[in-house]
Amino acid sequence: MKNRSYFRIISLGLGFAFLYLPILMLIIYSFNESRFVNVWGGFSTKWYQTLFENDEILDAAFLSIKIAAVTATISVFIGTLAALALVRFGNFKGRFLFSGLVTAPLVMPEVIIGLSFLLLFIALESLTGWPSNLGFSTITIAHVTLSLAYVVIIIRARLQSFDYSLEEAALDLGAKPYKVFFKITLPIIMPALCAAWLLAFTLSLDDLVVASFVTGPGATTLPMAIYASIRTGVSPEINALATLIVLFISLGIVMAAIIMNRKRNDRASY
Amino acid sequence: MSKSKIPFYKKVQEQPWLNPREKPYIHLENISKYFGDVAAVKNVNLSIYKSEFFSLLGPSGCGKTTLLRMLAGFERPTTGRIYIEGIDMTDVPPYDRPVNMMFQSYALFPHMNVEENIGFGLRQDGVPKNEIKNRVDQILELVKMSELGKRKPHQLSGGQRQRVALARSLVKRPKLLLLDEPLAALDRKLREHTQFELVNIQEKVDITSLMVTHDQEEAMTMSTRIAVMSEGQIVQTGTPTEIYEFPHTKFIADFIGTANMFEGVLVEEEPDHALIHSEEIDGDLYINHGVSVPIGSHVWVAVRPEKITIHKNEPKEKRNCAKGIVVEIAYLGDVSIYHLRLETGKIIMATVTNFNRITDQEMTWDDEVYLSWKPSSGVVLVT
Repeated sequence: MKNRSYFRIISLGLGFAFLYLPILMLIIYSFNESRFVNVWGGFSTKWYQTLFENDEILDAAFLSIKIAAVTATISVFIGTLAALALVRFGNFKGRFLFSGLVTAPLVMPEVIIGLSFLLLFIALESLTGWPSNLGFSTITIAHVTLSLAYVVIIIRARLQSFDYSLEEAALDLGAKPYKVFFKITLPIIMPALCAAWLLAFTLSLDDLVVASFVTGPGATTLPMAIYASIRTGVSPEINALATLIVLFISLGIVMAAIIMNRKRNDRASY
Repeated sequence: MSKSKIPFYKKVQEQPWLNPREKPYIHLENISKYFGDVAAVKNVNLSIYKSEFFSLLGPSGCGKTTLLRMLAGFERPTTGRIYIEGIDMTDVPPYDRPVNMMFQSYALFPHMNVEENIGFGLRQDGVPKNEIKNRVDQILELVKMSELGKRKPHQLSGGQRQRVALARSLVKRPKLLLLDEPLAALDRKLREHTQFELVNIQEKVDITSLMVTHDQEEAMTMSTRIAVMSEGQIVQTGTPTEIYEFPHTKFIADFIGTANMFEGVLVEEEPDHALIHSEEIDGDLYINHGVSVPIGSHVWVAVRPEKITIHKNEPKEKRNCAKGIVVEIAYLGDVSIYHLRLETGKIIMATVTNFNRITDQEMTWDDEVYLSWKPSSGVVLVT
């Protein structure tokens, strides 16, 4: 095997090291006995233990997951409708504008999005009384806007490569249009919907900037909690938390990859 | 031409289209379809009779697929009506029509296995589960796919997918089966084999079928009748023999098979013969029947390459005969195609069956030869 030259192996190793060494360090130090982040004091899982006793962090984590799940679900629902409109309804008036506006948050600085949402919520409260306090609902609304752009792009791409004759075949075989959607279209684009959901979920889970603007007292998301605790010194507890998040996300990605892979084989049939 | 190209004549005892008292099973009345200002289909009238295997043949863009899609209900005609068994179906949506279609891409549902694909139509109609199972099993047996019922489409070969698609469109026993280029995706050998099989299955289930194709050989092999389409209109309807031997126009003569075309003027016209003078060949062209076109008309005479005989010595019969030089030989195995240049400069194609194994070539490039054809071989065309 001449292909396995040392040069190739080394460059591959360096590449992976560049990408994953920081995360590996984090995982290793989460099992550190010592209280200091830069001194190895032996293997221990005590930081995981203290993590699960830290209500503040746990509450923040649950809030973040709740917001992320609701955000992902809402944005996949709205995003599917928007993508359907963009792909299926032909060249309706304002299509170009609509497409531009839907995907604009991609390039909009998060600070601006956060600030504009804050101003909007304040104005709304003085006009209608809602939202009386910032928190779960306001963060969710802002996150939906943020993740919608990505969701629309993923689902639109899938719909564009969709073979229309599948829907026609179903109609031809006696299925009414709504049945065609639920029995044919939806199952076939489902992998794209799952991928979009996962992406929206991670985007929301990860967001610090927008959430900081539109949150209020009592509603602290996980990134906010981590950021706040870092300012008083890095605790190995955070390492443990981060390790769990990495594990969680890796599992999600592996699952998504398995789903996509299985569906890709199906799709290869036309 | 290989053996399997020999036209396969469908066993049709009676020819219902010749019987004026016979009612058409499918009837298109004055169908037109405009996309914006562009007419895809113009004033098409068509009658298809029960159990027929009818083909729409034409080059791409001639409107044949649009016509098919109107029958399926995916497109609504701009004007005209569609009748199936005398019932007006023009405004009936596709899911309520007794019509099923086999798509060119097969359109098998990728997330369902073969049995689920075939049973889909029956499930939509609320057929009881055990009956669905029986009918799916039956049709799988018919298309020889019983072993593969649990496979997903992506686990099948092209030919197998084609069978599943056919089974799916047959299982509901539609009044009309639409076939959109059903064999286009198969390779040549499999296509020739499948042509016969498809016709056999169609005869067995006795479902009236309409096929769209751009492949004249496919249409000739499989159909009871063919409608040739060009620019949105039907230019000729007839049996494969009629279309091939008696084309109505230059376009048809050229599109169906190949034809040598002589442009000329009609100089003599009697009930028993006609004479055409052409600048493209020395000596007039003689046809052994009247053509009912006024003398002096500008006409074309089409002669099929296989109807031309090549002689090494000058034949006795001087009519429909010319001298030429071999300029090109295409050896296809079973036949050879010769390109001959006449003294007028006109290039003529002639096919010769290779009865003997060609080791010592009888004719070769630059040989001087004579070619001739029978007075019954030429077809006089006005347009």
